[in-house]
Amino acid sequence: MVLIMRLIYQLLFILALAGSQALAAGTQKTASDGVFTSVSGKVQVKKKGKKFQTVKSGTTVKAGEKISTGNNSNAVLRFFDGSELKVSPKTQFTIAKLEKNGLQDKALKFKLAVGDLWASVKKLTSSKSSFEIESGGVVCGVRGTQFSYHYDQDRNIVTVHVDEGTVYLNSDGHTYLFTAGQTGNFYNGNPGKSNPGQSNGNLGGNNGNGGNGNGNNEGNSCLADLNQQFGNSLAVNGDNTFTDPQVEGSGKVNVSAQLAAGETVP
Amino acid sequence: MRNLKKSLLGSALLWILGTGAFGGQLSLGGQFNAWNATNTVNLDGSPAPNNFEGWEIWAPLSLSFNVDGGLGFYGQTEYGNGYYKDTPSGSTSDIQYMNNFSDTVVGADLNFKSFNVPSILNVGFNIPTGDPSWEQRQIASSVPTEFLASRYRGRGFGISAMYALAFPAGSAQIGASAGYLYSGNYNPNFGTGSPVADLKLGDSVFVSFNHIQPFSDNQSQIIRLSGLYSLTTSIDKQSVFQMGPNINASYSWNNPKAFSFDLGVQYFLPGQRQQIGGAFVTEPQISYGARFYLAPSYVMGDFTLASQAKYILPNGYPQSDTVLYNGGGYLLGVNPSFRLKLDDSSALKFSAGYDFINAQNLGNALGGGRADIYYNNWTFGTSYEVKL
Repeated sequence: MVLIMRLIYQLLFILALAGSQALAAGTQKTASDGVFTSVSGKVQVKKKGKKFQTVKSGTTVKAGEKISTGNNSNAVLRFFDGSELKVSPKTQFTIAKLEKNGLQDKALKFKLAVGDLWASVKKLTSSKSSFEIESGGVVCGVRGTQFSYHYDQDRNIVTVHVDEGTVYLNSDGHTYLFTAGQTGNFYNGNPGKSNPGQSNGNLGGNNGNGGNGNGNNEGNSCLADLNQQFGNSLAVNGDNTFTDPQVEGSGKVNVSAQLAAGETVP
Repeated sequence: MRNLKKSLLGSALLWILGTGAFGGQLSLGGQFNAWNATNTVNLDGSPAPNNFEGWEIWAPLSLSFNVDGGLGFYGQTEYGNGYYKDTPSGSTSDIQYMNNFSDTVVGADLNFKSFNVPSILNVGFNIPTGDPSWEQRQIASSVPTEFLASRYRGRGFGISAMYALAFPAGSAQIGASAGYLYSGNYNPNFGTGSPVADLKLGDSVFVSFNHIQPFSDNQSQIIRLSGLYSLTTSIDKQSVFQMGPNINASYSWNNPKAFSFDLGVQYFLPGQRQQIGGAFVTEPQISYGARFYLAPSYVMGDFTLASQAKYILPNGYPQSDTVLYNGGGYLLGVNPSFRLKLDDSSALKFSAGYDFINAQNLGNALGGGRADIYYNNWTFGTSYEVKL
């Protein structure tokens, strides 16, 4: 036991040391670039203090630069972390931030003036990382997902459609969650008709915790069954218990005691 | 402080052992689970059909023990290692790795007599040892949770309590129970640069009734009827959703030495959602389609062959509603397992499983049509169980 405790302390020390090094590295901010991997039609970039200039595939862009696409023109931008923006025709946006803050933290932000962007975002591996698009008073923050984002400047309508993962939109101090398959509209910064509220279907709506039982009441099959039903019901209704059907004796799942883990009994 | 904790733990252990009637079970295990989508589908009409695949290795630990004839404690947790890969066509893969503990559940059962009939009180606690952001991070490449529940839990603090009674009815028994599930706030946000959003999943009230008729050779039939009513889910204290009440009915035939089956249905009523301007109104349609299941199994000595068929109807929303429509689908699974008895108090259990899942109309193909997504899911596991 003493040896085990010593080993645990040594592991904790190593982890703490690694954490402090990562923290130190995290304080160093570096600017990073994006590059056009595909350009079709008239795509222009406006660098600071200069006029719009037509670009071609391979051109790099930095924070502070504006990008514009003409009619029947589009482009694909790939950034230092592997994330991609597909820029639709008649779109204009500014790269507000492209930062790599240390080993894992990164911050990418875009201000969309008009048009459509489709984003494929590399999974963000730290809580300090962010990938955001802002337009019409709405900030769209994501992490490791794919979504399309449209801003109608004339009517001040923001439309976001989530392909995968989860997208958060901040508007007027409220956070709205959208998950795969959901579409959200914001009019003048306010949530629109088809928004799914702020619920998250992937979290199962009304979920919860607990709800088990240890099979202590094996002597009374009726009570044991009710106890199991309770655990089952909580598990079924929104997939909400810490279920481990593989572990027999926990007594919380009856049928699935015979099934492999990971399954739910509806 | 450390000495105090040691003393308390030591005292608790001595008290448990000192009661004399100590008994329980320890279970350790390991499990491998892998899945993939067998076809690629455009999820959104974007030019990027996706492939999904992943695997998980779990190390569960479960302990339960009784300290006297009526009181028992239980606890369980598990450590997971996972790999989740999502590959858009023509693009590099997004890969997530998991190395986390899941939430831990601890609780107690108390068997006693109330109203002169056998009764039980079960109180459980969900200890938030898991990462509350992880379930959302793994969503992108996982099988939809309506078919296979996410095994990982990071749901914050929770409490559940249930009280049940069993009334004799000739040679049968009729049981009734009521339970409550409290879910605490937690933050599933994971670094979007957005303000913290506290998610408070709605509490739930549960009632159930059963009728158990025993037969010879430990065979029995069980008829169950239960309902669950959920309170509102909120984000930052603003009500956003309320799952509709649901009713569950099932019939089971149990033969521990041969054929058993469980046949059931779950039906949901409309819930409530936040609409424009924040109004919280009843849904025009039902968000959750009815689901049916049949789980037959056959026991041959130490070998058990279990299977499951599950069918989920589309929900009430039209396909044109790209936000709320859910096409349902079905799952077909088979799960053989073998129990190797080591001695009178311990055993090894080996299990395997395969599930085929058709998530109907889950994908939005190019051109606006819908497309099914097919998944394979495999599990292999073993566990060691010892009676204490």
